[in-house]
Amino acid sequence: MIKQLLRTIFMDRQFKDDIEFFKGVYLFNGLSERHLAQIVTQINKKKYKTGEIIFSKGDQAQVIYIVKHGVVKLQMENNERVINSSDFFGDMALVSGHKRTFDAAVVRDSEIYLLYVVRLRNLMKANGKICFQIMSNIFEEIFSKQNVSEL
Amino acid sequence: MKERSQNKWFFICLLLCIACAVFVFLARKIVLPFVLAAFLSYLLSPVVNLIRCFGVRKWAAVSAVFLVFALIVTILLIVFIPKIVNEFNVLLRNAPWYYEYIQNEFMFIVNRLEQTFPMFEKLHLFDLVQTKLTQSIANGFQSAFVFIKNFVSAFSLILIVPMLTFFLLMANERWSDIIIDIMPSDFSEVLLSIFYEVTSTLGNYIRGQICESLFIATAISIAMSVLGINFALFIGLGAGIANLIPYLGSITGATIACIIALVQYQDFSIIFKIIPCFVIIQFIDNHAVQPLVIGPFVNLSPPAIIFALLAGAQVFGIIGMIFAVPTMAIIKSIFFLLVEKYKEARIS
Repeated sequence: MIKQLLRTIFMDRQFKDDIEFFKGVYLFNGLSERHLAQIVTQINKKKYKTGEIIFSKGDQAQVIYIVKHGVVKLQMENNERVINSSDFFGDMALVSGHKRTFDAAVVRDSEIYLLYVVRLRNLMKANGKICFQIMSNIFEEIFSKQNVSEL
Repeated sequence: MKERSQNKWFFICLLLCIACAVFVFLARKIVLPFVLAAFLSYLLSPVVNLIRCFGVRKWAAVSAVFLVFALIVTILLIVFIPKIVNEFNVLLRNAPWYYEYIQNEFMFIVNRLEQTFPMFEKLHLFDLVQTKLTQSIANGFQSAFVFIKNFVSAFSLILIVPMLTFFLLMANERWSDIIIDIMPSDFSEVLLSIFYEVTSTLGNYIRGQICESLFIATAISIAMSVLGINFALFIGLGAGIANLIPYLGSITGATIACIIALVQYQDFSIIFKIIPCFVIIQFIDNHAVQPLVIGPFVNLSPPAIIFALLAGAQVFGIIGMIFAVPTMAIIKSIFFLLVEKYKEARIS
């Protein structure tokens, strides 16, 4: 009873929810709660309206986007990919000096987490476990994409 | 179309920055509590973040950090303030004597000089230097007094600074979220990088400077008391505070220590013990403490740093000198970010 009361007074629900949400994001698969909390403290949030352009081809890539809710469409010449909630895009920003190779536009009103890559890079430099997990997640993603195209 | 809009953004940003700078300059007399609060909040924010990682509400984390910090400061004050005040009083009582000693010493040197080089006699070197010296010492005391008075005018400061610090810590990330939400989406990446640049540069600088000053103050206090010099605590504290100003600080600390020791021992050989002490402590600081706490951070050339220092002193006084270097570093990095964005806009 008292424990419950203390928890409601002192515990940050929003923060916990953010961590729970990030648990479901593929990019952060396998990270412990403590590491996720470290990432959550580095994150910004922005609301987008339908039709807004998040970035266009050729822009300097500096941010990884994680869709909280809403729909985003990525377009690269004829290819098209739709991003739904708890999915991410723009992770190639981790490569420094990378330029965007596709356009990203919001299809339906969205709330998106913005993760500035230098912050993530600093975390990864400081903590080997975070670095390894994120790297292997990205590798897996690239690998699975390659397999699809080979088929 | 795109180029036009990018150009527009560039100039709007530039104008905003200039307007902010002018405003801060106009309101520079009331900047002190904000600066101190920023100092404290940057010092404490990593700890707050660390506690927040456990999922504690922000106000709880901030309050906890605040209480612990206040406790530590109070204990330090209770332990050290009487000693420092005591030393300062003794120093003040002996000040005329110190002045006389320096005067006598100087007169002796000038007399010797005039004996060996008679041509100097016409210049009345002694009188000249004496008037200059008296003047500058008086001025120095006056400005220091004004500074301290402003500082303490300030019983209110004691109330305002913790309050401001608390709110700055609480608002830490919220304001950046709000600005990003307001601004158009094609600008959010640049904004994020600017925020990062500003907060990390300032934060690293402030944390680094405070750690360094603490190290220097303790090391010099210990070294001076080992050498048996009076007012060791006072010298150490002075050197620590002076160290907030690059280049100038270390020289000032060493000079003060030398003068005090010279009067105490009436012997020049003590200087050859003090100077190596300072050099060794500075060396340890530069090569062991600094890389540990700040890393290679200010990539400014020495002329740029000296320019920033002098300009800061001219405009804002002592506080300007302390904040000149990080401000310069921030301006430089933002400038390069915007230039990069501008070039990109021209290409596409």
